[in-house]
Amino acid sequence: MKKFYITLLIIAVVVLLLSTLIKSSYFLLILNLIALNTIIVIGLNLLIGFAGQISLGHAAFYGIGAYSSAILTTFYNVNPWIAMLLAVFITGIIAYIIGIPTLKLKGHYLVMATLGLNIIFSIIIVQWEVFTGGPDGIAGIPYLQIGSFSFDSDKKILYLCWFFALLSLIVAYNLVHSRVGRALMALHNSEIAASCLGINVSKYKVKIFVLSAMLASIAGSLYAHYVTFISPETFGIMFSIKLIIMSIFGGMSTIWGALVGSGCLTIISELLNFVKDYSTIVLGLILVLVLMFIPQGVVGYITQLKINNEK
Amino acid sequence: MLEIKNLKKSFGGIMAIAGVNFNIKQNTISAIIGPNGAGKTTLINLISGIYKCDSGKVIYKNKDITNLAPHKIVEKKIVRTFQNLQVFANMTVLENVMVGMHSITKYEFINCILHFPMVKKQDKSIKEKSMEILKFFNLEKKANFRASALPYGEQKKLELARALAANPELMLLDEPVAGLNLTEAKMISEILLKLKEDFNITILLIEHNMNIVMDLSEKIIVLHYGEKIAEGTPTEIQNNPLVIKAYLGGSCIA
Amino acid sequence: MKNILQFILSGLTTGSIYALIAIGFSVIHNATGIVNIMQCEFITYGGMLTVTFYIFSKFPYFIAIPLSIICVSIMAGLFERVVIRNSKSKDIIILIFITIGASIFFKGLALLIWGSDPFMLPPFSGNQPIKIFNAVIIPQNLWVIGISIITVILLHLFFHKTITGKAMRAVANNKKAAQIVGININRIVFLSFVIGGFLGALAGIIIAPITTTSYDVGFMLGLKGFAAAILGGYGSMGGSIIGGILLGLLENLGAGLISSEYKDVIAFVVLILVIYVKPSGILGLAKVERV
Repeated sequence: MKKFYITLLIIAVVVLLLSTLIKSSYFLLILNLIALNTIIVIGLNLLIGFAGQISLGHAAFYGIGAYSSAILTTFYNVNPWIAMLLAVFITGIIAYIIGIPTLKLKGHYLVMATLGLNIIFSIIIVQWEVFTGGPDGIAGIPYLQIGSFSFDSDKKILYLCWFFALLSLIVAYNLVHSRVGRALMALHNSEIAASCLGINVSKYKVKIFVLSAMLASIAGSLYAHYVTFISPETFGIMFSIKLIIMSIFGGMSTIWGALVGSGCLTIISELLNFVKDYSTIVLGLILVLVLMFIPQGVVGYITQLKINNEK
Repeated sequence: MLEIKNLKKSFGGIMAIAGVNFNIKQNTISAIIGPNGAGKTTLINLISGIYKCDSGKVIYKNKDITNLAPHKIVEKKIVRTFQNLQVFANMTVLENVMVGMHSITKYEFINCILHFPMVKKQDKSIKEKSMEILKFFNLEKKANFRASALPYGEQKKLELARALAANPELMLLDEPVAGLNLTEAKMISEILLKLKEDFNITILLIEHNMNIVMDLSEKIIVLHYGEKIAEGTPTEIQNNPLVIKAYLGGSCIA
Repeated sequence: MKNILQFILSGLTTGSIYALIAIGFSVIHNATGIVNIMQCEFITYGGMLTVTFYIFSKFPYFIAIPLSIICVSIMAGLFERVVIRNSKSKDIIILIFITIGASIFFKGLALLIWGSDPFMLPPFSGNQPIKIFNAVIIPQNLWVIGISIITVILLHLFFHKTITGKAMRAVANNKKAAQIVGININRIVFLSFVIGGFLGALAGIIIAPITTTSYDVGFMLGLKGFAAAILGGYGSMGGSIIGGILLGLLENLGAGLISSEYKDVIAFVVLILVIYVKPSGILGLAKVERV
């Protein structure tokens, strides 16, 4: 318990230090993207790693958050904070409605359904031009503001992104170490045994799905108000796949895995820009090798080493 | 306390349970026996809500609980264990028992996320209670082991401990001593007696180990091809010609 | 009234392709339990290797095509031997993401080798459209449908008449029992990948004269094949065929009669609705969980 908060504090200090040391806005952007990805991946870890339900469609919830924020602020002049809140609410309702029938599915059928939903979302935002700006996307999204303080630079928004990232880690930590977290792990192991101990399996699956969608939505809104321009390709199926790769890479049944996974992969994919044509090959190779030899993810691997040492 | 009335269930034309009737009295141990494929596990699956029955009724304490969802059945203080172990393998022994207390605790998502002091308090108290239960089963030293690291016999005990954590009035046990050696089986049967005497729990169990069945139960129900062919005290059952025939059949496999 | 017959004919053509790909997914699933995303690359490499052998090396079709299929089958088999078999975790989701990683790798490789331009293969026989009532069909469509039907028949014979085929069905039914009676699971898994590679390559080659082929053609086709397999009931050959044809018809009728922009939306909405109603696909059997 204490250890968790101390680590959290250390991370906060490191991020603050980095933010004062780093002058390049490119590196600040990477740091911010890590925070945003962490918010989504921690939701996925809860959903996949703890509750055992796969979603290959979370980029869509990220997109629903971003587009809701963008549309509400640019078309209807809604205050960005309220837009963000409404976006979370909208995403939650959509996830709830989708979740009820979808989470009855298992295994590959669940993968296909969530993947299909992501594809449907991608096509709709490209085609529904009046609302979404079609393939061009939406520009001129306002920055978030508190009083006269506007989060209008990479550095300023950094505090906001990391505030939400650390907050979502706390949310996940509290949830995992509670009655609900235990119930999720139980139904991951055996849905029948869990229900025979009084756990309402379908309700819990839908609820954790909604929670993870809402986290993605927050990240999406932050992204929209940060970059101030969004377009469809950001929220496609490829990003959903990347998110799960981050989750597995870090260790999907761990809390810190979300941070490590999104950190490593965000940095790796930026570094790969230097090898240009070879970038996808190298990315694919890294993935295959990591999954082949440390399938429990980086954090999972370290934890295992520790346990082995204690023995 | 528990009344089964003309319960029927078929799977694709095969009658698994063909109109079974019986009653279970409070604070007794009863056993369901019968050859493999007699429908014993199906019967427990029907009572605990895992399968929906085609017709008939399950009455518990004068209330109709037929076809309630499994988690609703648990709310009525009926808990079951499984024939093939269903311990939560990647959780610790202690966490397994704490999950067992799911139905007697509250606090949903919002409270758990915000982690209010009362949530902490409740967590602490169920942790203590769980440790007590583990002590009762002599598992307290392994509280922080992964459940999958326990030997088979202890996993069997853990499943009982987890069921007890739900504070049941009626326990449905599907082969609690299957696969255990003599000493382990004896230990379980002592535990079951204690559950009845000290915790006032009514027990309905399925078992193939006749020594245990005859020792423990006050009432035995014999199923054969989905039908009840006999019911009575151990001595009555042992001398019932129908039962002997069902078990020995035309062949000589006992 | 628009020309429904025309849409049905093109639906059957794409449907046959989806069916072949879906069977590839199903065969590998039955042996391993995974979704093999590398199937997408089998499709790409089938088409692109044929381009290489036919256009660049100037081999005739009857050499170029079998050669490409053999190459892809070997690649599929090697992938199983080198990567899948050596994975430390046998967890389904890990294995699936290994195939995704490998798919990303091979897509990158394809981009390096062939660049991003699409290639057109000439049709197998002429380009003269054939008129059927008020619809026209180009010969290549007939080739696609014909080759698909023959392949399905041959596969059916393989699975029902040969010992190896029967062993594969046994493994699909019950891995443990199959192992106990002495079936070499490793060999079956290997073989399933070879068959998956064969089917993927074949699909990629016969569709290339109609749609062109490029380094990333396999991704969308593979996804549709996976969707078809799910729609019909994952792991079942009959289901894959029905799912494939149905998806092909849905897409083409949806595009022709409702809206071409939303054709994929229509197809996926129907797909999702079907599995909501029947969570194991059209021909899939609902499992009674035993406890």
